[in-house]
Amino acid sequence: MNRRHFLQTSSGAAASVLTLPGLHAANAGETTVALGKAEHCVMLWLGGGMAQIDTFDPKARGDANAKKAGSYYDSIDTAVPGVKICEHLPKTARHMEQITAVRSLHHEVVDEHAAATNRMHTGRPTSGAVRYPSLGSIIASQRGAAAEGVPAYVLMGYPNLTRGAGFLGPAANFIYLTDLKAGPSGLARPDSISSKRVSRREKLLDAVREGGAKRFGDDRKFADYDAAVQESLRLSGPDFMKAFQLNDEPADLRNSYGSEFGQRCLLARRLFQSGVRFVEISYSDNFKNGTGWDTHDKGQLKQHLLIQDLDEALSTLMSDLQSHKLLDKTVILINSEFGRPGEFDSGGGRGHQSKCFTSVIAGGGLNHKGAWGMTDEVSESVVDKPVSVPDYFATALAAMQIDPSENLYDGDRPVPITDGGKPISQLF
Amino acid sequence: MCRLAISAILLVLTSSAFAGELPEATAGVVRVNLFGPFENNAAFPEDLGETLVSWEQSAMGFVRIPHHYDDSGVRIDWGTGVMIRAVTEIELEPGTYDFLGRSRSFSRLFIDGKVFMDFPKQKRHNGENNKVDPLPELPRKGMRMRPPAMDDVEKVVEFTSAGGKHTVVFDMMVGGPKLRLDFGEPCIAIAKKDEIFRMIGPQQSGPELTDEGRFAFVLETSEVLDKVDREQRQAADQQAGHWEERHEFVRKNLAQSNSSKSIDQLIQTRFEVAIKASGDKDSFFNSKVRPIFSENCYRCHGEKEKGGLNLQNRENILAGGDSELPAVVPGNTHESFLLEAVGPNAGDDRMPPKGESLSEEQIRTLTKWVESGAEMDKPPLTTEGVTKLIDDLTFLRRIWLDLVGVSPPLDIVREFQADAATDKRSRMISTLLEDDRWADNWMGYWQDVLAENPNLLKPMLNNSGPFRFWILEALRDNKPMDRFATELIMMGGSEWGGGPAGFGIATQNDVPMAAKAHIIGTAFLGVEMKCARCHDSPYHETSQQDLFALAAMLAREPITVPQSSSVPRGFFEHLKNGGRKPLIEVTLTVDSNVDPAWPFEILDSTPVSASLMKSPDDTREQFATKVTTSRRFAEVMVNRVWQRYMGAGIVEPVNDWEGNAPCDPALLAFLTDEFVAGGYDLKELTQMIVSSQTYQREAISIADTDSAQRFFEGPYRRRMTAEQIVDNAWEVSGRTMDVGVLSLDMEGRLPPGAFMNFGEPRHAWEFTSPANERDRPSLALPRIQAVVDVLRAFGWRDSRQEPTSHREEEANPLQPGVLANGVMGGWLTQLTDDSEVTQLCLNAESPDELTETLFMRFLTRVPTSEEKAEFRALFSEGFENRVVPTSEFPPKPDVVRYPHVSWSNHFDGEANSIKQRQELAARNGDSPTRFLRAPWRETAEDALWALLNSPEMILIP
Repeated sequence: MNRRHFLQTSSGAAASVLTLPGLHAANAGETTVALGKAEHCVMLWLGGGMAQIDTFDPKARGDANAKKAGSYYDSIDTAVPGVKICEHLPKTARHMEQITAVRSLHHEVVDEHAAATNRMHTGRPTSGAVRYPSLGSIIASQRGAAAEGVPAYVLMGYPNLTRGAGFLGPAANFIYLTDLKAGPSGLARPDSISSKRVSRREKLLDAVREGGAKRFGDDRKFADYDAAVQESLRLSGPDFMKAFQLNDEPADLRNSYGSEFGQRCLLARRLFQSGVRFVEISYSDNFKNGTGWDTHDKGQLKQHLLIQDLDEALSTLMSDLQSHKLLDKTVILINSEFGRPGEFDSGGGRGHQSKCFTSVIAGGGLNHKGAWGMTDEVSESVVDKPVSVPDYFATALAAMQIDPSENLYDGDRPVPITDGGKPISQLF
Repeated sequence: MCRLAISAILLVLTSSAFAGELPEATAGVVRVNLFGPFENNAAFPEDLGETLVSWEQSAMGFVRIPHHYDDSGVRIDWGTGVMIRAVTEIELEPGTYDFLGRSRSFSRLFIDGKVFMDFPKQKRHNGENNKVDPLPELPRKGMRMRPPAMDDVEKVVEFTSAGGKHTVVFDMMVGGPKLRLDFGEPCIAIAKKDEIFRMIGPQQSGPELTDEGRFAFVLETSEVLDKVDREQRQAADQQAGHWEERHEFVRKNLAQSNSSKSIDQLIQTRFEVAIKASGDKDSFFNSKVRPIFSENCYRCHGEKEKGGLNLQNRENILAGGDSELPAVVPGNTHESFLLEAVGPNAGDDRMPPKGESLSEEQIRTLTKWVESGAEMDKPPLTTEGVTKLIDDLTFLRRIWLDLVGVSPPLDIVREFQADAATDKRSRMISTLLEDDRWADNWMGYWQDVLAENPNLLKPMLNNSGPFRFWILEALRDNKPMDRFATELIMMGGSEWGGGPAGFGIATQNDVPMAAKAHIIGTAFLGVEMKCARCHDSPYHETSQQDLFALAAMLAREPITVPQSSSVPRGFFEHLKNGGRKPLIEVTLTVDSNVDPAWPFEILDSTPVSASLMKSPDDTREQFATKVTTSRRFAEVMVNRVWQRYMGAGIVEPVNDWEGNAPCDPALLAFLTDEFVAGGYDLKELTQMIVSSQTYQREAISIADTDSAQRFFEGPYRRRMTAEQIVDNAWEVSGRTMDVGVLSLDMEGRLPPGAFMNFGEPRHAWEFTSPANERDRPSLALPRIQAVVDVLRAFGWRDSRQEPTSHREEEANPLQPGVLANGVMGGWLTQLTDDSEVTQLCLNAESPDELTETLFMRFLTRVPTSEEKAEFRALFSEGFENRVVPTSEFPPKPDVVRYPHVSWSNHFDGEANSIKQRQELAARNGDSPTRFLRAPWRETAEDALWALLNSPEMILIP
């Protein structure tokens, strides 16, 4: 074969076929997915498994005592005609034009919280050879922080593998806090150290750093770490840490955010203003009903307290973001590892269900529908417009201006950002 | 609930007397015997059988059970349950005493042959929904008494002695069906009324039943048990002869009869040769073209000659690769295929095939090079020659960190400085090689390389058993490395109790043996088969068939390729339409059966005679033998050890040798010969490397990625590992790691495998992920999390789903941040009563002396004059008056106690709130020392903080 011919056939063919995405630059004219225009993303994580039938996919009332499947609460109308949600979400109902409850989500991991949690953080099944990154790490790696010198990814919850960066490495990892008062681990200075002591410490450290520099000269590892020390001192200083001072907010606003969970949402808004790209907020007030969102048995009895928390926090977050002109720039996701069936268990609560459950997308400048997809009369199977986990992730990523068909790289290996997911195009 | 039963009446029992003859008791010594195995954990066996293990300890309390070893000295399980019998004699003054017993297992206490106390079998809570029980009321108030561990039943019974000697015997059944051999904190203690209880031991002065008393007892007894284990292991091991024979065999067959004399000479020779052979660093090719090729092309079109093209070889370039199109026609840019392939119109076939295309500037350079005749030049030499030898202090810090993982203590430093003998460095090396911390210091390395990955609870993807304990023991025993690899590959011993069988586990992995073959390939052969799990490797010769054939050897049967071990359908769809040929190929179809076979002909060595194998027909043993009798294995080991101490391998990357030639083949051959001749002795190899001048030179900033330029003019600069950073921080701060029990099943209710108990970590390598995937406050382990935060920031992996030989260690602000502001850093910069640094502060004679002492302790160097001035000024204020007189000591503050939280009660709301309070307590840290006045103490703590946060605390000097 002659060289000219060889080149002509292959490049000629390229224009007409789908190429392996990301293996090299996309060809002009190739159809790409529509992308949104959001700049920030917050994922509200309702660990345990939010019962969709008691929240965003309400059905006719059931009866726990009589073991009659159905909702535990009445439903109410929302701002979107024809879309109803649980009676304990009245404030959220007023924002429904900016919300899409994706009711037709499904996967197949049922009984293991940890494995399902992993699925709903990475968007794909685990495989033996690749450690997949979480949604937060993907967004952190693809978009970076929105401002200089600020971490891209903040987690309010327990650090674990599922939330980590996988093969993307430490640069895409989170900083985390488990307690609002304590601030982010490794950055917030302990309260017990007075500002006088802080400056005394830094003065001493300066002397020791200079002494070290004399010894190690222009050694690169020393210099790199010394620069990291400087950067860390800056991050621990008032510039970034003031974002964590919720007391700077008006008392009324703080009150309307409600519980600890709501306060975390308020912090998310402040972090976005300082340039953080992605925040995951874990619902931590599990003691209110004993089980958190994992409403087996008696956990069902006071589930409404959690739903009311969510209602206050979510609706306040949406109106607060709106008043800061951030709602269209901020994708809000409400995720659980799975949902729960319309039937009741022997203890009057609900078991796990992954074949049909609801996640919620709000804000982010999307063309919201109130609800998407349809389930049967007890919300136990999807009957219309099924959405796979990869599709749901693709939707969130596209809203964040990230092409879900692009590749990430695990060393040499191209790894598609989503597992073949396609965004719900009607939302764009 | 009857946890506390104070009673003067002797309990009425069915059998109240000791059956048979009372064991012999010795005053002041607690003799403990282990019997078993027994199925029933709710009855005492009639026939105890032979004593399994017998040892002496200082008091009647229990920390753990000694381990059981097979005839390779490898851990195996004891069986379902065992019985512990502890015997001692105490001498009492006449009078009335309280005896206290604690146990959560079926057990009984005899005094002078009569049953005096008994304990029922543990009541097992089911599920997760149990209530958090309040702590039982303690029989002594205001004495800082330690409460019983979770589920330990406590009994206090009055005892009147007429004076004289009493024999005390305690029997305890441990374990049972589907239970780990855990037992809480059982103990027998005694006290007069209104005195604090002390565990029964010598002269009634056993450890107090306080936190401090128990902590000291645990430390001491752990050492005793480690010694017992070592003796058991050595006594059990029958394999020394076998390995002698094996080593004879490899000595004959593998040695390349190298005549080299030393590392230093070889390094020197290579320099001399390289200087003669070097090109001009300013030539057009070397300064402009070579960098483009190195960065973009040599990976495939270098030694690997992809498509038959090697851009390092001018003849090949002019002839062209398999396409037979000349890559370059000198002077003719139109006919030079290379320019077309990298150019803007190359379309689908452009080079490099992925990532950014070459810049216009780079293409112009290549064009100019072709136009001007495409002349090439030999690689230039960039070295400036060997660096200076290091001084004693630098040597001391380096060798301590390298051999035992912590920096040298003050007394060692002073002794070493005063020592005028010329062999003091080699004596120091020998001493450190005998230190047990040698093994601890290697742990993280092998955990990473071998993907040791146990989870605290409910295994997830690629969790393994905790074979860390076998690694530790193998290193402590300095098992030859070929034996180490063999034992690992044979996967014998205990699965969940710490044996190599734990390596055989990869949970939720549908072909665990493929995962293991991958690990063995990278660890011991330098063969990287990660890609081969699902398709033939694009950058390697290894195929998916190879990996599965190896997996089948390990599995001892053919393996069927599952759907999940392939490329998703649709990946190749575009090919039908004539799309670009992808880099990968799938040659093994799903559902095909792969038979056991050894695929690496190039690594083949002289076949081992059947007499040197135990079961010559066992494909797993064949695999192990093929690996460990290959010269490649010895080379890979040598290269790994060299890389660890010298900052770069002779071959890089150490786990992937294909296409990566050694930068110094003679050096590699020499080290390999020595290693084989020495019987694969890791310590001997280490001794040879660290005794060389090459190791004892000043470090060079960064290793050149180009192997031709890697001369080892000295070691390349290394950062300390995450584990070293943490262990050393505790060491220099003068604190013993005390973070509680690493387990989520504190009461030992759940089966091994599903739930693990790693005991109380004392070294960084002992941690695992706190595994709170469920995101529940009640499952948090606040004090453990504090250490894990630091480890993680510095590149330790909380999950080792796959092996790695190169951790990510780039500097980032969270690293200094977590030390400076994190919870663990907070603890280590507090001066507490028990801190060694508090003692230094108390004993200091002057601010100057204290400054020098602290710099030497933390950084192994003298302070600069600026540092001295800064620290002196700080310490001087209030120095004379810093010590609080004994008469003014406040009493020790009371300890805040929390009810026990475990898996069984973690759904209780109270469990969340307890853990949240414990998190807060962890953040607040320990009580400050009462011995130093607060204002001065705070200044000293600030000094500690500054030293701990110095960049020198993370570097190997």
